[in-house]
Amino acid sequence: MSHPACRKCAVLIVGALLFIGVGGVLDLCVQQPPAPAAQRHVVEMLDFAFKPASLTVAPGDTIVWINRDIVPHTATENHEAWDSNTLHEADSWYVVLQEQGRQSYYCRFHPAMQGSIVVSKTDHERP
Amino acid sequence: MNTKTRLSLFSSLLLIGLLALITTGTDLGDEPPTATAPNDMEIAHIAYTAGILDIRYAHLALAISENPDVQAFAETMIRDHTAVNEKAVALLQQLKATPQDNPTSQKLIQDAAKIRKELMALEGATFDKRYAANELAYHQFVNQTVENQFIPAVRNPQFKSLLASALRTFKVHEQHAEKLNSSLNQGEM
Repeated sequence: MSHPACRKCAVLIVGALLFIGVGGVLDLCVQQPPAPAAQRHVVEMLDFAFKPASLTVAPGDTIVWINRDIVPHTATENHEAWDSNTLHEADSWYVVLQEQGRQSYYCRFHPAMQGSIVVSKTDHERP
Repeated sequence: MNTKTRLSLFSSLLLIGLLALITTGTDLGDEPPTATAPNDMEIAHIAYTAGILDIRYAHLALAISENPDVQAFAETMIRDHTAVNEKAVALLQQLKATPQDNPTSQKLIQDAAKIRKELMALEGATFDKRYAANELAYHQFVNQTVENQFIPAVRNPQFKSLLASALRTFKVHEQHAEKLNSSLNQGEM
């Protein structure tokens, strides 16, 4: 049988370790900011314009285009990295952008319709 | 735009203008419309006919032109005017109404037949320039008529709203036609 003093000592040590362990885990939770939730941005195609015409997003965000005009439109990246193809009235289409930087786009049917998306490095760069 | 086209469009515009004035009664002491005045359904017929005629010009351009800009413009005319006309047909079905043929629609059809005949005799850059010039003149003419005559005259609010949406579309076409003309005539002075 072990000495009572030793048993008390062991309990204290285990308790201390548990406290440190739990505290450490909690500490990690506090120190690591949660990954920002991806956001959804809507761009309307209305009166032959993209509204808003410029947008700042974070990597992984979703951008949705909705055609509110009565004629078809497209959202086409200037170098055709992505293309919605024909969107009729009330049609929608989306893209998820990961690569940082500015991407310009236009409507293939109505080239005067132009827009841009800036994929920002960090979340705080959101407008 | 050549003199023949100008006269043709002018006579159509004059006819439409006179009909619209009779419709609204604005310059006739605000008297109620006469029994022979064009109504919403006649205006619908004229607007629909104008769209169909532009689609026919566009099909001709796709058949004759080899210029990618002219072809892209023609494809846009077909796509957009088809969409606008489909919207008009849907509204007419909803209203259980039928467009009514009238002298203005017939005049537009006759004038367009002459222009198509003229275009069919052309090819290459000559065709492209003539087609683009006609598109600009046609859209200027239609836009002025829709904005100043038809929209104020139409009584049905849904039809008025559709005409306003159509006008926004046609104004974009007019700007597009201006750019196309500038690009085709670049270097010529």
